[in-house]
Amino acid sequence: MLFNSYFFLFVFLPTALAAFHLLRRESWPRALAAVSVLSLIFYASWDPRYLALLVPSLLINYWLGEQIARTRRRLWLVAGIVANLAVIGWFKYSLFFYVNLTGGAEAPDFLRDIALPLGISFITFQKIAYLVDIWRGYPKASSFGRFAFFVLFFPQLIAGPIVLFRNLDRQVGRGPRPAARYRAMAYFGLILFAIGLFKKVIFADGLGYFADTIFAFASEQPSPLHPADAWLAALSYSLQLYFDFSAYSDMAIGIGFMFGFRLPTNFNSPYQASTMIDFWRRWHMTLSAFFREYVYIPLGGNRRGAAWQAVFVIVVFLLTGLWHGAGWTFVAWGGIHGLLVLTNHLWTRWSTIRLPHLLTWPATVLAAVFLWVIFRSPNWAVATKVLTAMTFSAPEAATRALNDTLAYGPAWAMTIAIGVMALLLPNSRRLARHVRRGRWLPGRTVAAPAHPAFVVQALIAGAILYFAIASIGTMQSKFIYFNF
Amino acid sequence: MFLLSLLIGGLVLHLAWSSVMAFLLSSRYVHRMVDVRRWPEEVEARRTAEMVSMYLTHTVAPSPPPATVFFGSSVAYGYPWQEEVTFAARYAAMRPAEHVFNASVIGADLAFIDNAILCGATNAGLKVDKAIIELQVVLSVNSLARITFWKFAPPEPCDETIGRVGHWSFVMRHPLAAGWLPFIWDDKASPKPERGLEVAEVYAGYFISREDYDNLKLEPKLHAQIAAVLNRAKTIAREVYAFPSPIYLPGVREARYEAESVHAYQTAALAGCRAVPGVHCLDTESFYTRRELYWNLTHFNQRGQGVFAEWLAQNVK
Repeated sequence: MLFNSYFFLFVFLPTALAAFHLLRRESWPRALAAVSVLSLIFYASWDPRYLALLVPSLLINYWLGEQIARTRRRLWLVAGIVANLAVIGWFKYSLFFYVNLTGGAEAPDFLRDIALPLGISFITFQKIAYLVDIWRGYPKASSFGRFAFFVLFFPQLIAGPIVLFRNLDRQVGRGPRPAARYRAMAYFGLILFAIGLFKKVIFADGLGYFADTIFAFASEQPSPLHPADAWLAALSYSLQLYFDFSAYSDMAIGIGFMFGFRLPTNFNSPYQASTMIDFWRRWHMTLSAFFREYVYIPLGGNRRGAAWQAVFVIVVFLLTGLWHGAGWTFVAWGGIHGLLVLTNHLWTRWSTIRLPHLLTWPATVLAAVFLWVIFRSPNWAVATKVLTAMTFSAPEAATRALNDTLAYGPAWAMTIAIGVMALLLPNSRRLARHVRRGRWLPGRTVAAPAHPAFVVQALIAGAILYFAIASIGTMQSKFIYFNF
Repeated sequence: MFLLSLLIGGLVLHLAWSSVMAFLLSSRYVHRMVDVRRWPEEVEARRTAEMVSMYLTHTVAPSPPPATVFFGSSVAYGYPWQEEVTFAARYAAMRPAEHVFNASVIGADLAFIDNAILCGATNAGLKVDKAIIELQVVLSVNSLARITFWKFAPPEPCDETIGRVGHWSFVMRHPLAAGWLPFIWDDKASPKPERGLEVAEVYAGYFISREDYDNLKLEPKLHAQIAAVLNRAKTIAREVYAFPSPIYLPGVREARYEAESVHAYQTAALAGCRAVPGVHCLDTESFYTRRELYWNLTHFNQRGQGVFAEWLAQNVK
């Protein structure tokens, strides 16, 4: 069940909201339990067999958390981390390791048939963070219901943002809020959700057509790629990925608001970053935060000198690459990002020269775009083909990738227009906040539902929602990060 | 108040967007109908009939006589070429006194031509001087053998209550939003380089074997479909011309299929056509072996489009 499906929009989400808001007045734990049960249905809608992994893992991690809190023995923490990593290792990496450790031998059928459970990378990290936090002294879940709600809460279940137990449970622990507060949050959430849906359906899926077609051409056709095609593929994919994933995050956060919960921000205009360090502070922020807090700092961070810090940075980025997929292209993508971030650190530490923003900004964006080519390519041959064409080093291409040659004009116009938005305009969260506060209208505050600003905002939100929902059609495409 | 404003916002955009899309649709597709396969869902007979009615109501109905309309499948559409290259457009250029329109649908079999395309023309209340019908045989034999390759729903019988359809009302009733843009953007308008025949791999079972054709007793069914198509066409046009879709038979053999079987049902189609009184049946057999005219096994290249247009202009009085 996708966020961008009619069943979710018109049946599941209204049902879940109605159940939660009706029950919260009677019993807060029951309201949470209802959302947890509906979240299980949401998860099982892809494949009910996934529940056979999710539910036992939920019970075991809750029990491990209890043991860590009660005994304070490191053994339970290590057991928990190893068990969670073993699960993700089996489902996501066993085939990759088998092939590489055996020098490319044909893998047995049972390894090739392993289906990757949806959202396993996100769910695993959340549970590891929960166990580590208890070890560090943060409070454990006061009941299984609260723990289950934290893991299962459907907006963040499949593709994040990676929520920490302590952040969500603090809000859960406050109990139900006043009705007016819920209304205000639901209103903000709806605007954010509408923007996210629009970004996904119009921007990401629109650009995805060009990126997919050209990467498929590069993969299937022996002829070299035209430089313009290669650039179009690289730019459209860079934007598609950003708008796809940030749209999912916007929708997840928006739905969270509709339930009265704040989920963490995941994107902060990454293509407006002026350095690689800055880029990673803005791109998939909850994943960066996880690696910083649960890998980089425990390894030693910058406390053990520059040489070790360099090693830790590279390790973290190699793991970031591997987290995205079991393939060497992902590892290389992470490794090169690590080298660039390291260079950035070293430059900041040892050089007195500060480069102007107008130089570092395009350099950062260009580096990210080049690296997305490696990330997107199914293998090295395709990555090399696209990168060679982008640097004008490929032989002349006899054919173009898009059959419809007249489509190049609109393709470039769309890519450039959406690119300018990503480079210059405020992101959805700022936009939603801006709209909600009515700062673009006289009066600057939204006092009551009858306020003209309020009405105009609702009109705009209605228009955005209509266009996004009507555009979905039956061509509902999955979110890219579901693959990770 | 909030929900009401939300609804009004959506409704206002729907009205404005639909008006723009309806205007663009009506102004961009005059001589050849839009490719209905751009629909995001399965191509349904009823919706196609509405779109044909919409196209013909807007173009052919107000046109002064004499009017000629092509009804058919991808060959008559001119797949994969831009409109000006197609034989329908070249035929029009050779007959400046006639007003020529093309209401063909890529991938349509005979049942679809009858229950969707000609059905649309009936609903538009069309009366034209000439209808030139492509008898799509290969796909029809496939469908009769219950093999389908396309995203086409099995056609329901023609619904004659649809009537004339206006662009605005049609677009208003179908809120596709950005889904209308692929209709507005005619991807078939791109100029493509001319090329010779390429025998690509075809779907397994695409050409029915002689054994299946005989065992399933497809010939009488094929004749019945042809009769239905042509009899409906006769209610629309004063004169009806029909031709079996040309096909490059030696290529069928190259693709490891039974060319004799294909030849047999092409011939049967012509016989089926000749069994319907008052129809001019054109024999396309002379095109079955001319490799230089084909783009793939079942479609002409640009040269083929030109040669076929000349042949049509000589045979259609």
